[in-house]
Amino acid sequence: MSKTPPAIPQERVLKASISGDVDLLLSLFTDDAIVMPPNDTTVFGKEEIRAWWQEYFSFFRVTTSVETEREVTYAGDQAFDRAAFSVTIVPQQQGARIADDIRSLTVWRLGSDGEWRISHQIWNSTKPVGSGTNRYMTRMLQKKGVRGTSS
Amino acid sequence: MSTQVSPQDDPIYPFRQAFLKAAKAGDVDALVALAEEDIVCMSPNDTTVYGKSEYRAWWEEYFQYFRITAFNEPERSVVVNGDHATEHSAYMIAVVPTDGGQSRMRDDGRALVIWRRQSDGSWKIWQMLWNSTKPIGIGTNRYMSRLMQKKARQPR
Repeated sequence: MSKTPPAIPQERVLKASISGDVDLLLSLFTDDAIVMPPNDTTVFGKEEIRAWWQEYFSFFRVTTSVETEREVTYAGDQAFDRAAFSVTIVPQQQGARIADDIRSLTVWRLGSDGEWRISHQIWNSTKPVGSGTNRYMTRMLQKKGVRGTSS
Repeated sequence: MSTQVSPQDDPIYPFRQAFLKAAKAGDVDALVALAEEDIVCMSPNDTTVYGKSEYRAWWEEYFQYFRITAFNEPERSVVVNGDHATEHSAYMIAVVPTDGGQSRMRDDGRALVIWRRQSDGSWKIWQMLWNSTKPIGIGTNRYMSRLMQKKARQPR
């Protein structure tokens, strides 16, 4: 008789996002994970994922993330996790708090060690252009651009 | 067990090609025929679309405003796991407004699509979410903004 696998550790993603804990976040991804953040290039593999989150947390802090919808479907060694969240972030330096409504589609893979890890992740915002997530991505890209010209 | 498949063994490829062909032709029936009854479609800067009838309405509205002139996928990978397939792809799309008033718009983005195998062996789209790699204010965002503005102006 096969053993029932544990549930996906979705609460750890939330905990790591709120605390800005990059190591905890990294432990939740497969080595070959593909992450597709909006308005940015695709991130391949753990090292790029680490760099992406380190940069993110150097600019922003996630203060709240409230799940508004979630459907998880288990299929063998995969879990398909569709979710929606209302999130609030604040810039590390200055600027007002930003609220956004996002949807995510995450595929988890069950490792031979019995742990679930994310193999694919993509998200976007339901908010009109110019508000929500878009605002902070714009700001981040502007900062990257400024830094690039001064180096 | 989930397995990444080579392009030669990819069972999704013909169905993805049918999707791209239908999108370029503006063929709503063909697009809907590739969707599961309980499809969930999450397009950027818009609310979630649940089920085949909402999915049909979304495409009908889209084609009222835009025509897709190019739709290519320079990058894709597929993981098959029994009756589910996970497809990641990067795409390039070009659209022109149907009113002819504005110029062609180009966008680059990525999609994650979960397909489900049917009893006849064909595959249909079950869950789909995409976004743009372009900075804010260009690419898809431009036409979604315009669509929202037009929707807002319409009498209720």
